[in-house]
Amino acid sequence: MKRKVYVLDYELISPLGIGNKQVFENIKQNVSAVSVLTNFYTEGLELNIGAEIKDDLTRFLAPDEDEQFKEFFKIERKFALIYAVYQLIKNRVLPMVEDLDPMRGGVVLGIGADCGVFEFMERYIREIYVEREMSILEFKNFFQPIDIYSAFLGMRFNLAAFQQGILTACAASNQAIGWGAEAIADGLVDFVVTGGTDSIINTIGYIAFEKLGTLAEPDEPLANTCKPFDINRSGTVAAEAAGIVVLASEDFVREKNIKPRFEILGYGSSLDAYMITAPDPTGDGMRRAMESALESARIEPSQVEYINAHGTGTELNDVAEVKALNDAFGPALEKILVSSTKDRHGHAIAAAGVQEFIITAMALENSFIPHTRNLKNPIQDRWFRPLMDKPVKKQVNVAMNCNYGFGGVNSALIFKRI
Amino acid sequence: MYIEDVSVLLPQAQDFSEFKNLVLKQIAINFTPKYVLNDYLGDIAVPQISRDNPYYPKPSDLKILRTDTIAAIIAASRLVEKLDFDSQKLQQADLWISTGNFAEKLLDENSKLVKYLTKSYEIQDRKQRLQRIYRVIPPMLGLNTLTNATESYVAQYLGIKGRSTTVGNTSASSFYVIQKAISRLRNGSLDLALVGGSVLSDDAELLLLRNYLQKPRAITGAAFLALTSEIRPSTKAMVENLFSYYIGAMKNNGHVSISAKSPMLIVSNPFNFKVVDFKPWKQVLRLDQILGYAGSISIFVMIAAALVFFEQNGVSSVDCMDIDPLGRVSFLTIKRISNEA
Repeated sequence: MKRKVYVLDYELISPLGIGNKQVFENIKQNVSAVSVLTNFYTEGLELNIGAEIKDDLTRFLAPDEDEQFKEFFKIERKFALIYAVYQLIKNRVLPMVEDLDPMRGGVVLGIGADCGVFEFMERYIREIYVEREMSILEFKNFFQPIDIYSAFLGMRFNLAAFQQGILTACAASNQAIGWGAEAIADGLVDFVVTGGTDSIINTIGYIAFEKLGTLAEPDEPLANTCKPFDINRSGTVAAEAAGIVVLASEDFVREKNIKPRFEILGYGSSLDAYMITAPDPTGDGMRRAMESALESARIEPSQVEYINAHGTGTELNDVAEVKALNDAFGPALEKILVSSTKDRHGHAIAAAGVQEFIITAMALENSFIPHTRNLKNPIQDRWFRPLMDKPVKKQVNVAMNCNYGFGGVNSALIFKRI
Repeated sequence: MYIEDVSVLLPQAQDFSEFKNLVLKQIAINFTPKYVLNDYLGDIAVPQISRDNPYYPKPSDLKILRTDTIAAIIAASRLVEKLDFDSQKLQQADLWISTGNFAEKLLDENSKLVKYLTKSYEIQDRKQRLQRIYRVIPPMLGLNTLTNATESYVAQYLGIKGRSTTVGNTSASSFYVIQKAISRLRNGSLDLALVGGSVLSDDAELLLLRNYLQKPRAITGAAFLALTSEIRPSTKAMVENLFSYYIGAMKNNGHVSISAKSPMLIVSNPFNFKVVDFKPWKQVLRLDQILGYAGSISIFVMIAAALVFFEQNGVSSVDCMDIDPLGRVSFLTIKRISNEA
């Protein structure tokens, strides 16, 4: 990074809890949020399990928001999720941006695909063409809302330089944090609100994923369903989450006299250029993303102490990822703590990156490195010794968070506790 | 930073040569209405791409590929072939993609799904309703609506393995990816970036929005730029004066006052023009009146139009400005580089 980039704050809502404290308490208690889905009707589906946020998010909806806004909140789950995170963090962020020139700040979020758009379309086409009860004016706010999430945060925090949606599936929010960090490092801005939001806990999204063959067969108990890096893994677990990470430059930190919590050391991304339906089985693209992050951070592989791996529990990802870890880190991998937390909170797709970045940050701040909860029989490959059976309680300062997306989009972020 | 060349594939222009003729004539193409449901739907245009095109994707990919992604593969392939970069340089290049919408052919190929969802409201038994919905969801829906399909397929077909991302989904995203590539080229991180994207307007929802917003015509298509850090004999232009801001996040919410850097301004869409003062420019070209709204490829086609004027009219500098439907302003200047220089 050409200029230092700091993490000032973060906030998360996840199937493991509402807010950082609750999420990490459940990590420490070894809780899994995987259960039978209740947020939409699933009776009769062969698969009906996932990791969902069961809390009623309408409690976060401020009464003074206008009626269209409230309607949008109720039907657009991804917006409800990021809005809830905004409510949790706004009183900490607003004092930071008070008197900030809007052109010194931007927003970049990882946003998920809209399989659910078909559900909305059906509703609107019905309403507009059949019932004619909804005006076109109302309708415009529901139009492909990808840019609305970042524009909303840009407007509420007065951050004018950019408001972007990163659309790289499971890598999206890790890439969003990386993009935000590089925008600061390159001197484009001094302050970035980043993160992401996604949910596939809806009829269309869930069935679409199930038909792709990526979801795990239920195990008994259900909490044991997703088994990252296990030779008996059968798939991942559908989920949802949203998180915000606040980044700032050294100049900003000095001006505002804020004590940063982490420094982003490096970011890497790469393309498999292999095929859209599967990762490169050699793990070459993943390796290049990790090596690029190490190069950007200007550190040796042995200086990384913890890796929160993508570890989806799918057949193809995990075996390629283990190869990539071995190739990128070599013998140093043997001494690095490696785990995946997806067996606890499921796969939040575009929000996976921000969820796992924040869990990693909390792990470092609490000197508590979570193990892969459901891993019993790990993939055997060279120096790969995943953390299993129990957590490690020790001070760890440098971590890497990796996320890889459908279509062969790879990302890795390295950060250090201050 | 430098623009080596551009490549476009639009409903009205299969390549840059046709695009040049179109822009120079400044004629509005008569769009053929593809779907006419009722007054709410406007006209749309989709490029007719021959399967004989040498870059047309392989049949095994066609179950997943959307029209915008097919257009992107062809436009990007043509650009790369024309520039003749060596394969190692291409492999290490960055790929920054801007894309629009992802639900294609709602009214024909996916019509079964929408019709069935509509019809399913009539089924009282929830379990029966859900089972029927399950049956009608296409097995490839998750991939058909994949937001980074253009990025991943262009990478796969051209062998690009460098840094990348996909930004969406309005016209502002085409500015952000150019800004990102230039930032990387400036700091010496790379020599070559392929920047471009695709737009998909074959979408009832979008048509409805556009109808509300002064009936701009929507297009499906793709456009790509090759950006480099050094001038080559083939270099066409350079990019300067990049900036963007969001009207909604400015405390002086409202009027846009930008000083002219060139005598000519190209704008690409009809959104939020009431807040702009056009007086600083001698000439203003409304590209949307020629092409329709190009959405997530707007800035790329504006740059392509600038290159047309450089070739034909002796123009040496053109400003490009975009304001997207959310009120995000993007601005940049394109300057001609003569081959003799």
